[in-house]
Amino acid sequence: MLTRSLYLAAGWFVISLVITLMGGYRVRSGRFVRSLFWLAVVIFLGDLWAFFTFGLPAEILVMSGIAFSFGTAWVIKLPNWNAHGQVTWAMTLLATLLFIIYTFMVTAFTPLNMISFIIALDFFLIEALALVMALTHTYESLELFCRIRWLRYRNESLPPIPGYAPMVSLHVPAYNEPPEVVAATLKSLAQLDYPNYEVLVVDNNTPNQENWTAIRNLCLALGPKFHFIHLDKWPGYKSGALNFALTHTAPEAEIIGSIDADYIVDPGFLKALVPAFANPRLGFVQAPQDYRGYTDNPFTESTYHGYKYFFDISMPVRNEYNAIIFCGTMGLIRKSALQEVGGWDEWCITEDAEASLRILKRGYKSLYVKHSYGRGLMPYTFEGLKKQRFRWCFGGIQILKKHWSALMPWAHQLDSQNRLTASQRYFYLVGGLQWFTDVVNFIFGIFLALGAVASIFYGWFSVRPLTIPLLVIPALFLFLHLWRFLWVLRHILHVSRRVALRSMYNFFSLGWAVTLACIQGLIQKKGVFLRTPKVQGESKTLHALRVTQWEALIGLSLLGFGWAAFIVRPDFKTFWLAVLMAWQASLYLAAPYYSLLSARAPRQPVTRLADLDRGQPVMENKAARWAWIAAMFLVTVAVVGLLIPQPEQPSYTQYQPVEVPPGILFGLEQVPIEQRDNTPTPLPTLLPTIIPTETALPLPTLPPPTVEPPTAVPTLPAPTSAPTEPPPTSAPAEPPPTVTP
Amino acid sequence: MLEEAGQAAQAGDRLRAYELSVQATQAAPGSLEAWALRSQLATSLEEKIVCMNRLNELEPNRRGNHDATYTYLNELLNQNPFLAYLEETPELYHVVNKDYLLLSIPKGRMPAQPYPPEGLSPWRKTHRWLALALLGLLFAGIPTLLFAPLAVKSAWDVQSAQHSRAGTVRRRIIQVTAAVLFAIGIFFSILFALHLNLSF
Repeated sequence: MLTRSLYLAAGWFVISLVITLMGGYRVRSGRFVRSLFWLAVVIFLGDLWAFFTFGLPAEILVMSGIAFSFGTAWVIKLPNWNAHGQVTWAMTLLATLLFIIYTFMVTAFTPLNMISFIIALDFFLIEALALVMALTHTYESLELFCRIRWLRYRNESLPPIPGYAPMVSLHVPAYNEPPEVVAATLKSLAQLDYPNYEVLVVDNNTPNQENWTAIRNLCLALGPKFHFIHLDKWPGYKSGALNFALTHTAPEAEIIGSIDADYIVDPGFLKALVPAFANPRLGFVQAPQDYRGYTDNPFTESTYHGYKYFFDISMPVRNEYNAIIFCGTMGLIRKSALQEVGGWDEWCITEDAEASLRILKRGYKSLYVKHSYGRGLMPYTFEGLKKQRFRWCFGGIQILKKHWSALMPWAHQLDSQNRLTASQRYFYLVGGLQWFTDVVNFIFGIFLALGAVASIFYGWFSVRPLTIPLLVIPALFLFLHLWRFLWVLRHILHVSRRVALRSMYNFFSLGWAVTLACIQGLIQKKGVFLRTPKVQGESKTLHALRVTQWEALIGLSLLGFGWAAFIVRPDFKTFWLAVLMAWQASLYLAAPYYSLLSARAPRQPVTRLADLDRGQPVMENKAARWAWIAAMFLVTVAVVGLLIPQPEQPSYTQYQPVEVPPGILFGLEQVPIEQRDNTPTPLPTLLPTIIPTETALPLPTLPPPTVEPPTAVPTLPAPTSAPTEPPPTSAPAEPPPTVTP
Repeated sequence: MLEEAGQAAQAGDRLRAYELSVQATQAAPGSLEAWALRSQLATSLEEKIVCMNRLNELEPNRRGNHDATYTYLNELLNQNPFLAYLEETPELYHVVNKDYLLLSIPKGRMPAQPYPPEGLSPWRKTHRWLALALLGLLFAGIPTLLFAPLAVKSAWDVQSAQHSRAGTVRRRIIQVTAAVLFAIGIFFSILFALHLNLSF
């Protein structure tokens, strides 16, 4: 029943998601009855397919009843979504839950030796985590597209309040910036259409006095609103400088704004956002960070859209729950709130996001205004982008390490001062955990490589059997989640399919940097930055390839192992494994592709002198060692697992889920109705000898269950298990697409 | 002496008032009033700053001191914007300007919670056992069966030593979490045992 229920739920998931993406999101009204009607329609359509595929009307009815109740609960829980969103979310959740249960049953009751069982169990846990992460992204997308009543959405200036013009102090931290870049920023700030503000330029530790003297002279020329301080031997990097700026802010200032030294700010910036502070409980307000000079090159264009994803999709959703992140530039923060929480955290390298959590913890409100009021410079090389993503991820992990206990469901019980709502805790926790999706992806890559190597030498890989649902459902999830992601990019950013695809791969190409940052974030006590490999005097192209040498190595290894497995043992399983590994490889090989694209970009007229590196440097080659040590440990354990013989057919295999041949699913194989209500419980995949012949269902797409003797086992002994009873073969399921906003 | 200085200042004898304020600060170096008066009567910016340093050291959280320090510092930075870091306390920055004039500048904000926290939390050991119990699930739950009870015992010991409501709540949460982990650990261990028995 579990397998059929899983297929049925997957059917509902497909129907509801496809219809939502093809137009359902346009429905701008919602009623309870309409939602229930749509839920019933989706369930009925799925049931029709299930009835003609499996028969078993009683079973389908029971499952439909459960699905209807489950869906109704979500319709009630999500009153501000349209029917399509409500039903899609319920069905996505149901299909995912059933898949997790199914995977667990297969993992738990497959005949495996103890080592293989532990690996299989860990693989299951990682897979479940990846699926949960995919759910969070789905929720975010549906929230944005299917919400019909926005309570806090704002994409325009706040209405002015007559007579309300509190003093604003704009802090411009600068470190080793080219004077012409800062000059453009300061000139734009001089044009602000607001009566009561000061600009405090805080230069910290710039070694070249000529640079900061030029900026100081400009401040003097721009008038009394502009102040300049040069801080020498100052600790705490940017946050250290900003903390001193907070100390030296005009006493009458009520609002602080932090502006990066490369931003051109629109004159209406303050006038548009300051009225929000008339609410004394508002702690901070944020506008999107926008960029200029990105249209010349596909690399910068895709990077730009990557940034836009966060500000156009994640932030509006978080704003609805008063759970936005303060991103520094283009944001304003109440001075008293910042002083109350102790200023900027000099330990955390994403001090702005960290401060916003502490301010929300005090019960302040936040607001996101989705309108661009300024444009800055973005990294124009892949190396710069990689280091920036490393820094963001590292900071995210630092926040998680510092505040995890404040984000737990029981946090209120432990700290009465903690006034974070459940939604705020959810968004901050998930925001931190989502970084680990790339780590999970890396582990999946290791499992796939293990599967390929074992297939080459042994013909099988004893983690768990490759049942049909484990082939079909992850592929379905992968396809649908990718489609959803691309669709969201296209519809929110209004870009072509090609640009959306390039932007999506731009996300994926940074997976290795994020993986390193996650590991470093967990093991390092203080802030670090990534130092990519460099060789003096090499060409731009060679340098572009060198900075992505690890990604290229991983990608090519995955590609090579996958196709080698297929060439050595050509069958359906190894073909599928090769396809999965090609997909996985493409995520890593995107890095050298984008790096080369960035190397081909025309030279930017203005670029920043400084890398925003802070903390101790971590050499990428050294950082990679940690990842490789973990990978090698896993490989060693898996090899030991391979060497221990698999058990004979134990009794617990009777609890394995029923296998349904794929031919039946697609109507290719007719099974008489009278046989359908007595579906047997076969052992998964390639163990037909113990399946009673009168009840066994054929497995038309799988090869005959014979095991070829190992063709080449240079160092490892041959498997000791009897060749007529091959252990289950496994190619781990592909995780859902990793989406790292 | 301070009253006399005040009267002299009101009478327009600023020099006399200043001399008296200097004597007052020498006689009572811990007097806020004396340093405040001297800072107002001092003629050079450097001396005003020295007085403010003393005031800030004596009472770092006084709002009036912050405003006066801001004014004097602004004046100083207009002459030369250079400041070099020396050290800091939870309330004050100690810096020098280009001429090595020492400045004590109040931070004007609540002290930040240090992270990583200074000193060892009594719950640190308990959290460590709990984290190990969680990680133990990756090894078929067998280590969890050891570490989860250790977490409960450790929580009990900590809470027995310090009776507080928050401590009781924390202990209960740890107990419930450990119990849940233990239950999952048992389940995984049984599955592991099934595979173990059949392997050999």
